[in-house]
Amino acid sequence: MLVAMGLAVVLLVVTLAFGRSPTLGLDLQGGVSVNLQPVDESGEVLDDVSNESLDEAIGIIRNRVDAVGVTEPEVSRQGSTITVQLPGATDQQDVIDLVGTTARLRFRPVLGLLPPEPTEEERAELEQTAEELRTQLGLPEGVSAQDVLDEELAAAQAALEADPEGTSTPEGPQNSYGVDVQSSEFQELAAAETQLETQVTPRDEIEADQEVVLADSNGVLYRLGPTFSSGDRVLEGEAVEDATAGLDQSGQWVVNPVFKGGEDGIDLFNEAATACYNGDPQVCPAQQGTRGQLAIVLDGEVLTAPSINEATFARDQIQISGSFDQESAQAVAVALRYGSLPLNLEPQQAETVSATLGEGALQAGIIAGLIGLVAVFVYMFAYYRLLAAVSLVSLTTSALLLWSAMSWLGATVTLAGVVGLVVSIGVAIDSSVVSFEGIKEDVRNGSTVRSVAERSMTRSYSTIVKADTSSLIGAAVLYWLSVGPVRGFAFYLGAATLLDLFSAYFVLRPGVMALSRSGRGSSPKSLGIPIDDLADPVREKLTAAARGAVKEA
Amino acid sequence: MASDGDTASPQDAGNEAVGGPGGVSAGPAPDAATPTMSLRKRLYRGTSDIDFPRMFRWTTVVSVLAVVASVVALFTMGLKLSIDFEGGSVWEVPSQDFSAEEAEAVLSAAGVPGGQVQEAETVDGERILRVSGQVESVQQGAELAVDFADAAGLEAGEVTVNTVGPSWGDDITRQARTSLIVFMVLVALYITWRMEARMAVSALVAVIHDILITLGVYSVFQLTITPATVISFLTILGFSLYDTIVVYDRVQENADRLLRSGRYTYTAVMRRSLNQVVMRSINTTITTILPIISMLVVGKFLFGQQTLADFSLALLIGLVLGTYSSLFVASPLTVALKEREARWRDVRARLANRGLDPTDTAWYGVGADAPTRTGARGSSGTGRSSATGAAAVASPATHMGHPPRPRKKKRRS
Repeated sequence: MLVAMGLAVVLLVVTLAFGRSPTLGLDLQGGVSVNLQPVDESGEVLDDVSNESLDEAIGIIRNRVDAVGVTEPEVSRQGSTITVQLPGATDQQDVIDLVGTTARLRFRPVLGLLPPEPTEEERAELEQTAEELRTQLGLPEGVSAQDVLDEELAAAQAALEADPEGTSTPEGPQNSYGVDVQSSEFQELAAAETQLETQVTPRDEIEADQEVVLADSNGVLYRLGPTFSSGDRVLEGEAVEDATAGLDQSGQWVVNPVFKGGEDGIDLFNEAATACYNGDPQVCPAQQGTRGQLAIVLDGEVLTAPSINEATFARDQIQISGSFDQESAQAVAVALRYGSLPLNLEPQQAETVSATLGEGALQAGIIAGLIGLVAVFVYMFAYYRLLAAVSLVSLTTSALLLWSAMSWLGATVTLAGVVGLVVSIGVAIDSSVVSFEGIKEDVRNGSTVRSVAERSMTRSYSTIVKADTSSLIGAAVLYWLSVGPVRGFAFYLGAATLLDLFSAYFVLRPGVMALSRSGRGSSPKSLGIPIDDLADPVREKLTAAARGAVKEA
Repeated sequence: MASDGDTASPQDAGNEAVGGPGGVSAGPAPDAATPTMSLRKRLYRGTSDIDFPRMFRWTTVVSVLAVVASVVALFTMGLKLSIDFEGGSVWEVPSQDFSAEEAEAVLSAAGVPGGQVQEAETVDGERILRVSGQVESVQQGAELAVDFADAAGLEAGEVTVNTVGPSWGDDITRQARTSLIVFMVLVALYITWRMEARMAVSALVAVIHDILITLGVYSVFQLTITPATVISFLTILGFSLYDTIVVYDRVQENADRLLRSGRYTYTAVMRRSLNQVVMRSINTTITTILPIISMLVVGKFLFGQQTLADFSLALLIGLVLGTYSSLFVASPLTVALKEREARWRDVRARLANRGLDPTDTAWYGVGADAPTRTGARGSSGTGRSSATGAAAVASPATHMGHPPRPRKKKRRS
């Protein structure tokens, strides 16, 4: 018993020391939750979606949510239902737009590479440099290098119009600030400003037919052209039939996409390939040292941007090689496959919980639990006297263990979970009642408390196991077959029942046995066992045993 | 005549004194085994001998009537389901002056039918306008939340909205149904394995009885069924079975031993067992109900938390029904099934052959240190046997040598 209690306390201390605590569910802290399911074009829910697609979809949603910077977002899946929970979010419309948009795979020609987006620190540094340069150049606040250049250009234009032959070139700066645009300071300022302005196109501004700036997973920035198109045919993921990752002859990881046949498939891809191979400056310009590159972009992230080394390809003879390792090659292949059949996720249920409502629910749950607990123990102490103390210790042990388990398993406490916990107080006490009534019966049949405690508790335990098993079956079934709040509830009921089995064996049983050996504990009276109606000899035997124990003690 | 041994009337006590074996065995401790001890006291001391088999007769009638009434209510009045099952949106607009007309205008502007507007108050006394309507998609629900916010002059995030697509509700219903069926099958298998098939059948009938009547209550009072209700409900099935299994465990233990004595019908064994566990059932029910009542009161009246109230109301109804059905549905059904079994039929026949009355179910056993036949018939068995119970328990030591005392064997366990 002491070991079990010690274990519970140690675990709790460790848990607290690690700063772990259970996470609060959305319904207790407020936020937006959306449940999405894959649907076909007509909006019918699809049941036979591959796990790979769903996992990829979850990955995409996670990326999007992370990019927005919500604290502790939760994206999970059960069956084909994807649940997104964003604590603290208030605008459901925004969330639905964020997670409900279908992720598309697009082929975009690379227009150029950009320096990486400056970090916060670099940005501050750049801003300071720019400020200093601006002072040196004597530029007033709010006037950028670009403004100066524009003015300069306009002046040049005007000069050209006034003097088409260009007989006299105007001398010196042609702008109102008198800044020499050829000076190194000005060039430096312009560069700093360009870098400051470099930023990835925000998600909601990405358009298939517009230029964008996007990054790959290493943070390299690409300036990308519109999705490759020819007439009204657009080169998107649907052109892909399949993709695999494998090793080439030299043992390098490569990705082999296979395109669909026909003009929307391989033909369109070959048009793009030809443009890039030739380095068509309008569409797919040649890059430094290589031919034109065609970037494969999934949901705003550049997966890979291979340079095209042949003008045309057979649809199943394409190989993308590069600095892939197994993981990245497979990730690209999965993304290509996903892109070939993107999931349309339709929100099926969405809920906003205001933070105040959530807090109220948590408070109400806790207060109700505490009042319930006190009421139960007032009853227990009135009825079973000292035995109730053992029951209290046992319940406390369960509670401590449950707290640790919840913290480490990263379980979320939902309102349903809180109810499950309050209800499980009853379950735990049920076991005590079954045990105590057993002892009571045996003692009244003439056995002394001390002699009968162990046998009686063991027998009761077998009853408890049988009864708890039915609760466990219920919890397990609910857990596997349901989504959302039902799951949370089942989890806590199941966990509490398991811990009840543990505590009943390791705390309640030895606790009662220890009590029965103690002085007061061996007296039927202090255990709430009435013996006043028993025959005199029996009564004497029972009280004598208790007195004996007191003397020994 | 008191059918449940609730009170031992003086008349019964008289019978006991004349013909009951209790008169004999209680001899050594006449002061203690007062036949007029109240039921509460006897329950507390575990010496009650409530005539459950007699109660079964009218509880069966009550149960059947309740089930029939519930089914009728279900078919005529139907169930009131929350939007989580039907699909639709509920918006909550926290505003002091946003009127129902304005809300309806927003709905009709968007072409959303079936608008319902309800005024509510938060715990802090803030006014909330609760609007519900049938939207076509979750997106529309979210868009309308923005519209409501605009109309009421609030920020977009201040209007909360809960939208459920039509297929989602079907999903929840399907999940609940599947869970229920899988649960029942597994539990039936488990009880069959650990106990026996007849008990499993009875336990399931009891569970179905609980479900039907709970649905009936929700139908008659037109209480809204929410997912919280369904969850609570599924839990209750677990509780109901907990009690049932505690009863079964005891019955089985007693039956195994008492069958050999040939002196007890299964009905008698059941009566004895129920009396042994009745206090357990009462106490487990009380200790489970206390937190639930606390949740109902705190949730509903102190905090205005509808979900908590939904949970606890369903739990409360189910729990009471579950306790009742363990004692009065699962048990009599088990008795009815078991009495048909050959070995128990034999016991019954043998008792009858020996000229004894097999319908006498008092726990000391027919024909043991039992009364004469006339005695047994003359007294109802109720009051007398209660007293006998108390007396016998009171004097185990004095009866150590008495060969046919089943109570002594039981103590061995």
